[in-house]
Amino acid sequence: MQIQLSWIDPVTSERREPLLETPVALGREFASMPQEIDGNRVARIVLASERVAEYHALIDVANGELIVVDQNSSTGTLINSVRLPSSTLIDGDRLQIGPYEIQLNPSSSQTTSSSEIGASGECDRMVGFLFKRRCGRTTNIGCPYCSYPDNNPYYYDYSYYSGYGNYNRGYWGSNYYDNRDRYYYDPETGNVDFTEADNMSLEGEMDADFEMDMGAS
Amino acid sequence: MSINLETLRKSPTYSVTAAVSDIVKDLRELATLDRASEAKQTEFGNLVTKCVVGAITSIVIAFILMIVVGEMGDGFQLFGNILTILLLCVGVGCTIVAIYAGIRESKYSRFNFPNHRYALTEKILEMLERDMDKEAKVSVHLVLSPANQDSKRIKTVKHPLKSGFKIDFFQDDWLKMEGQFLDKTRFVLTTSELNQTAYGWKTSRSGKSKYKTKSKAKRLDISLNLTYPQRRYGAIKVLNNEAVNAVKIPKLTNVKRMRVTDKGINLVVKMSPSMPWNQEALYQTITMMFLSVYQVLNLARMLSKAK
Ligand SMILES: [Zn+2]
Repeated sequence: MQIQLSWIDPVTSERREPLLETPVALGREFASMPQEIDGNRVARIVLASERVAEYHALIDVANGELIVVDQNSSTGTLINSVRLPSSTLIDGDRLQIGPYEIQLNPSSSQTTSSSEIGASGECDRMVGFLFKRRCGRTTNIGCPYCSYPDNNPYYYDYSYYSGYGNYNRGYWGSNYYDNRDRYYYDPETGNVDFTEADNMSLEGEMDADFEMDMGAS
Repeated sequence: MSINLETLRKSPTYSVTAAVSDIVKDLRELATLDRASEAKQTEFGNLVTKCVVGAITSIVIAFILMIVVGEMGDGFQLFGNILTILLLCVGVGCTIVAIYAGIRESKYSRFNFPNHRYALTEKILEMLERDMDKEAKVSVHLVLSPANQDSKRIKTVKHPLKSGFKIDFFQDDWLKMEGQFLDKTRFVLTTSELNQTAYGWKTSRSGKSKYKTKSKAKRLDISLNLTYPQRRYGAIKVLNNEAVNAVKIPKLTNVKRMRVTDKGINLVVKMSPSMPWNQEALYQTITMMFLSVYQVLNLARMLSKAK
């Protein structure tokens, strides 16, 4: 799986936003990190700080999900400010490793690809500032993202609003975002329907929701 | 090209409906014009100073000569008189040049627009263009006349504390920008600046009367109005009450009003005068307003799919 990590180097204040193929190892010593895992080449990211272990953490895919596993480091790996031995990762999650605060970029991991021009002959990147949409250009010319493949062209403007586009735990709207698949909107009536989770749906149909479901189908 | 010197001279307002790229071209031209007139203004200002000094000096010397010459012998008198007349001529010449330069200076001062207004407009347009069709037309109404111009006075009241003093209030709605994004959302951005000037005659302890005037900034309101397609964002109604919590704006600014319906959002932010109303502060506030509103809309979009 391809992911994009983003952080500001605490020493140089430079922004790094590499696009990486999993597995990704993070640590202080390049040579201490594994070269290969299960036949896959490991992308090794060196984080220069005494508070980072020689081999600190590994980001990999398990059961189709992205996970991060701390490699028994003494300072630990914090996922969205919580220290955990391992955790699944979703778009916008923040990893704290020593002085490094690394974010898993939202638009990149699934929706963006580094090969700009896809099979359809059109650019597959998600572009736009306020809202994202598929680029669709047939050339790289004029595409703000293709011109800055490793960087966000709107980085400075986004920095005014930290966590823009992030609705994960701890961010605004997270309870709606978590249940986003259960909301439906009917533009004719202007009604917003909310479907309860599966184990609840039977009970739901017994009472008030019954009418609503009928109306919508 | 919409920059017309004569029109701008009459009323310093730039009003146009065109593609962003054309408007940006215009604004850059306006900036060049403004810079050139700032330079000319300084140049004529310096000339005025030089001529006034020259006129005073030559006239003073001429008077001294007149007195001195009277006490001189006959042989020197003729020469002295000629010199006096020459000096007086120089004095009059300098005065004429000073008046001319003064007129030119004031003429150029009319083109001296507040730089941050057009520079900000250009920056905002370039920010909004990212989510617009290249050909899409934007309406811009930009007022470049001074904020305390008489025509902008909205009311005059008695000073609450100083007797004999009055306060004029001025309202300057200097920017209105309207357009449409690729998601068919229409935006209207307006700024409204409130200033006040207190003035009156002040009597000092020694009994002398002196006219005093003092201006200060009151507040700057920025209003953002979005009207969007219901089909795309209609489920925003479930976020109504929480939308305001998604708003992030700079310190020293406040949310004055936020109204959310399934058809549109209105967000009004108030900038206090303790914040500099310069280009950076305004750009940051406006950018954060757009991002705040779209932080809500992007989530609403995820909730607005049809069954
Ligand atoms: Zn592209």
